[in-house]
Amino acid sequence: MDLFLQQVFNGIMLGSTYAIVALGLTLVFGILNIPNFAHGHLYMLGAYICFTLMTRLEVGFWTALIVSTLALGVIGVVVERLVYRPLKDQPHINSFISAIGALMILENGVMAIWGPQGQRIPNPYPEPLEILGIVMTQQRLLLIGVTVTLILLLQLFIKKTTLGSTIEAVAQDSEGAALVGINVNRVSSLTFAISTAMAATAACMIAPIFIITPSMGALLGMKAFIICILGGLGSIPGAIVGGVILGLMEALGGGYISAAYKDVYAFGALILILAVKPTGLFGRKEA
Amino acid sequence: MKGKWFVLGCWTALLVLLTGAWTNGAAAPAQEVVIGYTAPLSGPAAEYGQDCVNGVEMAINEINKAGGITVKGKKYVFRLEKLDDRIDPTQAVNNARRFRDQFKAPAIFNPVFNTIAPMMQINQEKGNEFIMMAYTSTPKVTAMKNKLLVAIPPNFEIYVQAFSDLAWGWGARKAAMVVTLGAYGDEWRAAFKKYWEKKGGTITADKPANYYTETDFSAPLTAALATKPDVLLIGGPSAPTALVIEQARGLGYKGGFILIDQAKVDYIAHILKGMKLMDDVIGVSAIANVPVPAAQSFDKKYTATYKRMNTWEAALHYTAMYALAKAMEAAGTVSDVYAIRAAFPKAFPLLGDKFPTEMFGISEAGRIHLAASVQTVKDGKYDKNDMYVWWVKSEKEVEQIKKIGKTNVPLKFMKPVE
Repeated sequence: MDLFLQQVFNGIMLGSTYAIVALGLTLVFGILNIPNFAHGHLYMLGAYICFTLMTRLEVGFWTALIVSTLALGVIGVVVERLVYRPLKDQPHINSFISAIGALMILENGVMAIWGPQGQRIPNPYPEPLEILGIVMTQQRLLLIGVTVTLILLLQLFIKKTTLGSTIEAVAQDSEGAALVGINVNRVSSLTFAISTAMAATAACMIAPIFIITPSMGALLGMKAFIICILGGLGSIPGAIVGGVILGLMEALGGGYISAAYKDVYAFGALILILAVKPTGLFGRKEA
Repeated sequence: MKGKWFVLGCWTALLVLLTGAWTNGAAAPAQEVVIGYTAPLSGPAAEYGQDCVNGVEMAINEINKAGGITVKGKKYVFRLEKLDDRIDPTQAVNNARRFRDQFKAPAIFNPVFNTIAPMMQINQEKGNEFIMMAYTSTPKVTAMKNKLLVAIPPNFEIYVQAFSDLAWGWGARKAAMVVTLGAYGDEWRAAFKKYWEKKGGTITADKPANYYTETDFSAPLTAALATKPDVLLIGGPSAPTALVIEQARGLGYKGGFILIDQAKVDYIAHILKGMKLMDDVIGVSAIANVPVPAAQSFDKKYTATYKRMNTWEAALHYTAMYALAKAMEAAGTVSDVYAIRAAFPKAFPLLGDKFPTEMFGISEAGRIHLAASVQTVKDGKYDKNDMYVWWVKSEKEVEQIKKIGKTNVPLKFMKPVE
């Protein structure tokens, strides 16, 4: 039983990171109707900014986290302006290509500045805790706490504020939103800022547990994409549930079957879901 | 008018480049010997590839600075050519062919068995022979019966035996394994399981994980630790191995670790920023602790030159490059690869007064005689550092090696397992 609970905890920790990255991806998809393939790489950049702040400038963990989150918010806006907006009225394939260009620039740029080797952020809260027979480090527990808080805040923002509801309005019908006087371009920038800032927070939270490398974003970006399809592209609850499901699958599959096939579970689930329910778990039917 | 000048400038530049390349090419065979190096120089294993090539490069620079080598009264200097193969076997073979065709390289270094194996399929082709300078500890490499092989590090079965005996001495009986996936990790697990069970121990869990792509090892670790092992066999590249140690401690594990020989104790301590989590670790010795006089000076020289941590990879490649140079001198040729390979025994011993790692000879199959050095960590400090002589038949022969060697800890005799 302890073993099962421990694996579930591991899964929830992984899943909450996945969820928050997928959430950003799904938000942007809602607005632009294309997946931001560079999302995972922006997540990676967030981790590197945090790393530089902590090791070179020796600021505290939380300061680094906040600065990195804000910085990525700004970078998100810039990416939207440069990479996606000029191609807004072009066929989608152009945006795809542009996105792939952006991710290559990000990965190679980071490699040129920080080098190809893995880097380590000192863990601010490494002490293990034991709760109900489950052993965890404080950092892992904090990670879950922070991601859950972020998800709740995002929900409140979208549902309870006027600014937030413009995002939903544009996602539902961008022409209609423009007709009632919503500045679609501004909403688009705002969405990008929120999406990349959240990815940066997740990256900063997880970086002290793992190692950061220039290639860390590629696999995560791919997984976030799977989660979005799993949960239904553009669906916010879909991204959250999909993220947690994927995390649990990897932890339980890795623990009980074999960690050798960890990525098989994610991609296998993708094929299965698409075969059974092509719109994803929470996806709407196209009208 | 402006355009015309620009075009003219371009042509001139091209011409200069071409003639430059041409004179270089023509001058090369006269007294320059090219040494090839193919390895991952980009991607996740780039760091490893860089450590290895730095060692070769440092040796070459030193040899050249001292005037090169003298072969039959003629002076030769070395030039290093390196190409990235991203651990892709096809690319490695292409690189090897290029070293042969373009530069007539008599020897090629490679530090990854996955790409060494296919290169050993072509290194005995008539007219295109080259010496395979293989940095790999797998016993499979010598089993291939290649006549042009030089395998640099000790066979890892020596470490299986030494590490297991040490852990056994600490009272460990139940062992669990969370080792990296891939051919090398699989062989290690199999060899360890065989030896451990022969001693009477049990393997309580075998949960391999991909150290090359993963950073979260909680799932296999949780499953392995649930079986309450006394000791955990882990390892793959050093950086993820450090994470495994940290995560196992984070899951409340208090027992010991055995590190497979790819993972290096000192590198892990560097990543974990100290040895607090590394109590009861058994692994390959920290390179800075290797008890030969030249180890410390090499360490200083290396870190000053490359501004990065000294590693076994660098030190062993450095010494191996010297061995190659000496074999050429002894053979009296820089191009007859069979003669050079045959002269290798005459290149040794390379001793600790000048070299960071002592090499005493080479086996017929091509494995360099290098003592296996084993390190333990106790109470957050480097503890014992044992050197095992594994290539001789009796204690008496160890005494002879002790007489010529410069190691300042006693060399121990180890009878290799069958």
